[in-house]
Amino acid sequence: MKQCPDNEVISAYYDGELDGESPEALHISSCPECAKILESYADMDKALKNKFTCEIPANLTEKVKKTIRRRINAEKRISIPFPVLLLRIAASLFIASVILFYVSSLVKDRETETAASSKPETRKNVSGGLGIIPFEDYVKASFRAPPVSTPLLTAPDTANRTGKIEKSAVLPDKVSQVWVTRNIEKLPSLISTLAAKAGISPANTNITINDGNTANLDMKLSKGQLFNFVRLCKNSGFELLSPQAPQPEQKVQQGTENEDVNYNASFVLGHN
Amino acid sequence: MDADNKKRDEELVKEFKAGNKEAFDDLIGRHAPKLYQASFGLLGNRQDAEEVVQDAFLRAYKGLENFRGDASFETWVCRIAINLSRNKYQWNKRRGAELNLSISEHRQSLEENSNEDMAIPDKAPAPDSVLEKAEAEKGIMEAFENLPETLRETMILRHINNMSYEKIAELQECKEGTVKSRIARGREILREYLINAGTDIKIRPLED
Repeated sequence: MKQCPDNEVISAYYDGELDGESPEALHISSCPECAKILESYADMDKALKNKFTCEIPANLTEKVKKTIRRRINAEKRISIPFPVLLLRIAASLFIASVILFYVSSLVKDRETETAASSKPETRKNVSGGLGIIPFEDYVKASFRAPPVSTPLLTAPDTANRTGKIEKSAVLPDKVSQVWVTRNIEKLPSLISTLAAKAGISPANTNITINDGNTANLDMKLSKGQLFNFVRLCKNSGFELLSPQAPQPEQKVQQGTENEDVNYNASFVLGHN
Repeated sequence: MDADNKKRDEELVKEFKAGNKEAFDDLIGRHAPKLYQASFGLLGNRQDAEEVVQDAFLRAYKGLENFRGDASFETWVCRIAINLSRNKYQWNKRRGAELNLSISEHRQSLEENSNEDMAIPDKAPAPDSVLEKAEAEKGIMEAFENLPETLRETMILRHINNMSYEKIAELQECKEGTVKSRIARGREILREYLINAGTDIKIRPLED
């Protein structure tokens, strides 16, 4: 081979990647021109090795091992699976909202109590089997403790006695009611007194003690007198069981005060 | 020898997958120096090279469970390191940092060597010759810095890591002929630079 092979072949020869028995290899090994090129490659090789070969740090391997262990451990510590992270956030928010709700309801209750005690005249009243009590107190008592043990329910006794008459009632000509009394023996004298107070003639009052537990009262009187009598009975400690009119809080319908009415009451002995 | 190394790597990978994490330490010991050398060649900076080696092994550690063994462990981890080096090189370039800090170190060392040589006149070559050589090497370095990245990378793997064409082709995922061509073109550019040293050098554009 007279002509020099191209540089790619010479380069491969230099790197030992060319078959040593090939015609190109034989040419290169004996050609002075190719030898010059090979020499320049050797210079390059030397220069590159000189620059880019460096001493391997003595502790390189240990350093790499240590770094990997540290980083793997750190990643293990901080890596929380995404769904678990979401659950944790949701649970925290739920707990926080429950606490917030509880605290705000407590604060609201305090404010309501303060407002109620400072402005009693603005409170509404409610009537019924529980007596006349402030509405807010009724609600609070209902939610907090059994009504009987709550002082708020026993307090309106005064209001009961002085409570205003809200509604007029129309009475039939014949009225029957049931009362509870604490003392059946003294009932006749007490009824006589109350009847007198209400302006009812003793002649129209007839009371019969049936036994030690019950008594009957028959009266003929005006409707106005009956309303007064009922209110006096209530204020004297009798407890009216019947829901029908006249109730102690009611007033007689205007124009019917003088109308006659036959009144029949049954008294039952109650225990304290 | 290569086959033995490959076999040992395969055994260690198998042990690691079986739960013996200590086996990875052996893999680090066997390949960290080679990776460091290649990374240093590509980056020209010791600290960067060390970081690349650490990152490469960390990635290998995380990915080894899914390593199928299509290529050898050495090729696989070396490919990771080369990719990381490439990214770091680009990042350094964008950041505007001096790409090859060691150039100045190198120049300095050349000067020191020159002085040392000159201090021992009996054994050293003539001062003119030393200076010429130093200048030539400096010229090669400058030209080398201007090589396209793929050529630089291929030449580093060949000259510094002494890798065969076959291995480089495997790493760069190309044909052996391409590797052969890249190395020859790189050398030609540098040789031209040397020939024209001291003149207005224009490196011919390469189609890579």
